[in-house]
Amino acid sequence: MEIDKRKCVGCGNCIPWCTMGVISIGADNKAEVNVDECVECSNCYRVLRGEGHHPRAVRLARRVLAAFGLRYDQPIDRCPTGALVPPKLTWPRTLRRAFSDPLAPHEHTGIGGRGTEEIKTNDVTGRLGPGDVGFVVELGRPGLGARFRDFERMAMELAKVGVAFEPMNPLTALMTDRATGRFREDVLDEKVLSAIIELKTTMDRVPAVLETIDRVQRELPTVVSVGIASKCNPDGSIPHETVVKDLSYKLSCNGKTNLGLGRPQSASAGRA
Amino acid sequence: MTNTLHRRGTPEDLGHDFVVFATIHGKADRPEVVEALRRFREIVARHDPVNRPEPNRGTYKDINTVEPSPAERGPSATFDDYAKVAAVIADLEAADLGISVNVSGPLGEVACACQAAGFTRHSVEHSLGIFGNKDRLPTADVLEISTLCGHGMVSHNISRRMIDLVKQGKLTIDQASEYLARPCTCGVFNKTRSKQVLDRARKLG
Repeated sequence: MEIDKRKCVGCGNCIPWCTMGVISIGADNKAEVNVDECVECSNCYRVLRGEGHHPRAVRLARRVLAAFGLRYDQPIDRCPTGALVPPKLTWPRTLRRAFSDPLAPHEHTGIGGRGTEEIKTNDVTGRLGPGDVGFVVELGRPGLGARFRDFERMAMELAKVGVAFEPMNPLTALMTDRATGRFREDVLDEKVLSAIIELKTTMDRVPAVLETIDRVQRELPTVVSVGIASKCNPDGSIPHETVVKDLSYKLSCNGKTNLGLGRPQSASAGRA
Repeated sequence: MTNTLHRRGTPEDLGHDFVVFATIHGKADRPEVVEALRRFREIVARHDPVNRPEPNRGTYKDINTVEPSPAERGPSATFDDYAKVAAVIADLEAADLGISVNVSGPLGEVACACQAAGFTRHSVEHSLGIFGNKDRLPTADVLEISTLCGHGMVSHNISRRMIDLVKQGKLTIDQASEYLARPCTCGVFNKTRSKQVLDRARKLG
C-alpha cells in the first residue's frame, strides 16, 4: 500500500487495521508504510472509507477546534482525505497481493483466499482415499506473515520424508522442483500474510512428517499452524485420530467436516 | 474460501461457532452450479445466520481493479447455535444440491447432526495447533478475536484497540463487534463469539 503524502493528515486511523502492523506515523507527522514488511493485502484500503475532504480543510478544522480546547477524531473506519493508494504491482511483488488479499484469485488455481481446496472437495475429487492422510502446513498465520524463504525451508525438509505436494496449490506452483521442494530464486524474499503447504502422504509416514514439522518450526521466525485430514471410515470414525494421539499430539475439538454431499467424480470418491 | 480451521477458545465457547460453506471444484459458472449455489444461499439464510459474506464483495478484474463478482465460488454462513446448524445440514442433505458442503465447528456435534440427518460424514480435518515462534503472538483474548477471520484480515492491533475502547466505555460491545467483523469479506467472523470475548475482557477490567 502507498500513502499519498499530499493528502495524509496523520490521523493514524489506518494504523490498527494494518494486518502486519507496519503502518506508523513518520517524522513528517504523516502515515508511512514499511514497504518491505507490507504484504499488499489492501485491508486498510477496503476498510477505511475515504471521505475525500481537502487536507487543508481538515487541518484548519483541527486548528480551530484546538484553539477552543476541543478535539475532533474521525470515526475509526474513515480516512478523512482518501490518502491510501493501492499501488500497481510488478512481479514478484504481485505474489504478495495474490497470497494475502482474499479477493485476489491465484492465477494458478483460480481460487481466492489461500488458493486451496484441501478436504473441502474431497467428496468430489477423492484426492484423499483410504489410507491417505492430508496435511496443511500454514506459515505466517495468525498475524505475523512469512517469506517464501521460510516456506522453502519447510518444504525441502518435508520433501525428504517422501510426501506429494498438492499440484493444485499456488505454493506448489512456485516450486522449481516438486521432488525437493525448492522454490524459484526470484520469489524467496517476498513476504505474504500466510500460505499453505499442502501435501498428501500415507498413514505410516505421519510420524515422520510430524517430526519434520516439529524440527523445522523451531528454526523459523514465524508461526506455523498445522492441520491433518483423512477420509472417514464407513462408521464415520477418523483414521488419523489414533495415530496422532499415540504421538502425544492434542487434536482440536473443532475442525472441518466434509459432509459428503458433492457429486463424486468416480465411485471411489464418494463416502466410504 | 474460509480458513476456519484454527479458531481458538474454550470447548464451551467453540460450541457456539459453526461455519457452513459450499466449495466448487472446477468451473463455478456452469448453470447447474450457479443454481445449486443460489439454493445453498437460500437454505442457509432461512436459518438465521449471525454472519454471511458481503453481497457483491467483489473480485479482481485484473490485479489492480476490483469489480463485483459474477459468480461467488464459496458462499458461507456463520451460526452460533447447534440446533440451527443441524437443521441446515438436514435441509442441505434433502436438497441434494450435488456440491461440496463443509462445516467448520465442533466435530462431535457436526457428526451427530449428520447422523440425525441419516448419513455419515465424508472427511475430517483437525487442527493440531499453532507452533513456531509463538512468543511473537498476542494475548489469548486478542488471538481469539483475530482468528475469527481465517484470512487474517482482523489484525491483532484492531482487536486490541477494540478491547481497550470497550473497557474505556467509548464503544459498546455491539459497536466494537460490528467494526471487527468489517474486514472479514467472507462473512465467517462470528460476532456472537467476539461479543463473548469483549464482555469477558470488560468484566476483567
